[in-house]
Amino acid sequence: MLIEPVALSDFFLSFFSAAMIILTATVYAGLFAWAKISARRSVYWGAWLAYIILLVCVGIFSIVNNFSGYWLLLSLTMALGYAFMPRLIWHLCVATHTLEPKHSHHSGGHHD
Amino acid sequence: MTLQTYQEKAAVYWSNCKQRHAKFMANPNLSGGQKLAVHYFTVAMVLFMAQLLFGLLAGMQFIFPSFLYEILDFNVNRMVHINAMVVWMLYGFLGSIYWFLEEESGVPIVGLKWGHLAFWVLTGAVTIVVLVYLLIQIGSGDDTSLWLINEGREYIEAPRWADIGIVIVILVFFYNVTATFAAGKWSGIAGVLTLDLVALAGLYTAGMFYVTNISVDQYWWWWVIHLWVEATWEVLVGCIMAWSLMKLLGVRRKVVQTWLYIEVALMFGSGILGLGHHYFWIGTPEYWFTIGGFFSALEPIPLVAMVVHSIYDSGAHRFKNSNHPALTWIIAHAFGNFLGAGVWGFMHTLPQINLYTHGTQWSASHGHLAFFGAYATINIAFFYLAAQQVRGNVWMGGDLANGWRWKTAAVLLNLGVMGMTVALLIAGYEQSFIERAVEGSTWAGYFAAQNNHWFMQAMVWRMVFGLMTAVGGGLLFWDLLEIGKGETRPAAIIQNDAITD
Repeated sequence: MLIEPVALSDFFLSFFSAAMIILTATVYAGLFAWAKISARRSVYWGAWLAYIILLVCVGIFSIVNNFSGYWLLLSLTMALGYAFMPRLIWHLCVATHTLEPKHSHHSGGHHD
Repeated sequence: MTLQTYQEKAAVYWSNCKQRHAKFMANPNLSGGQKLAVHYFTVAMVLFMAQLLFGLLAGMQFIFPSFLYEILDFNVNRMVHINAMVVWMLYGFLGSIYWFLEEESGVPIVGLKWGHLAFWVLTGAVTIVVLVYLLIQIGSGDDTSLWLINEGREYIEAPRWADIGIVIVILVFFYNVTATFAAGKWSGIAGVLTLDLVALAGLYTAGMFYVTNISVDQYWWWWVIHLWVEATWEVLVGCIMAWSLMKLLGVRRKVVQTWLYIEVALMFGSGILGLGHHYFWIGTPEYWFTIGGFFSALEPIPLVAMVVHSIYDSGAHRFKNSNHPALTWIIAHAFGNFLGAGVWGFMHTLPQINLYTHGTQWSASHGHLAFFGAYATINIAFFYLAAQQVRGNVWMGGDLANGWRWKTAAVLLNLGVMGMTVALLIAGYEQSFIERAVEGSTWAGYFAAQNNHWFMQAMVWRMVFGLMTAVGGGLLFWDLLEIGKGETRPAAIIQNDAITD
């Protein structure tokens, strides 16, 4: 499948939205995990706000990189993958630590 | 001074070296494997200093193009700079594995004398290769030069005889590792490590044969470059990190091994076919756009997963340890890997934009931060673990005498590399814009971009931060030689999430 390169005028948007996808995905993942640990509703909303910004960035990235056909599947994979991956990893964390002596695994636990 | 005086001085120096080496080999705090590991770490640090020195010289030549012209040309400085990096990282990895091999397997290393022999052979070969690089800089290329001087493949320029030597040394290393685990006990880390070493030695052979078709040649060449760095090295570092976390923070074996398996799965899922992002412009079929683009976009997922796990752990565990320098460098590893490989990689990995950025200073920007963040940091962390044991497993936490040294070195190195990365990013952005997009990758466009004031200013800033990195590197070297000397407090014993003072 041939590609249509980024237009000269969209250079900055391409670089910036790509960087923001990874950064907002990380902020979303981080806030999601923090919300689970601290059980604070505001942090949970913060995570979703980060995810909405991530979706906007994926949209801008898809437009300026002239995505069509298969490439749109890539955008969809990023949008869904980054939404569910932190949840999956969280479950893996809980599962791999099940036999540990309990410090503060439960929501709202203290931090040493 | 006469020749005789020089000879006498050299004899005294050599005698001192032998005495210090004999004293080190009698160190009761270290096992046989750990002594061999310290040999590897020492050469790794020397090569790190060489990497910094030749990087500074090459950086200077961007600002003053006639600097050392026809004495030490840019292509030679750049080659030694990058080769020194590849080799010091390998030395660090090999040393780290020799370091924990006996403790992990529960038995002394099988064939340790072969391991020592391989170390001296490898170190001798590296010295000869570098001397040949420096002494024979110009000449025609033929079969003789390919076998004896320079193979001509970027990043793996070592001549063919050295290639064969490297594979033999890795096979000796493989024998040490597998025979030791076979004689002792196997573990999840042992299994992953053994399989990874097969790939490490096997993939290197993909860069050792020559074909006349440049696309085919590049196709196999990337098997060494990409699959080493984004597959076998990543797994190797995963094994080293798994063991370090058990040692430093007392994380349970079951947890680190499970995550090691997950990492291997993610690596198979993204890193291997992410190779496609190197196949965009070398003449391979266009389906590599699709494969490379898709799997490269998946490559940051393990890094995002790491964030969730680290927050989970910080909420679930006491965060105490008795080797603050090592822990600091492991934290730097997490951030550096995320920014350098994740953010800087994804910014220019898809073919729609990579068309303009590939091979510009943008690649250098990504390369500097990714290699430092993903590999240099974990090696330095391990050097500090080794330094602690060499001094008799002493306390290396708060209130450490001359603690300013490791802290300053860490700040200077991290700020220096980050500064170089941003400066190179500006230069790369300008090159992508002017040379590639505006001028259409013409020869005139290349020079227009190189002479643009944004490029030149960026190169000056890169030099400033390069000097900062070099000062940090020197301080790190000094600190590793001195840290823990005179310290009498024992390190805390860390096991299974519990700390006993």
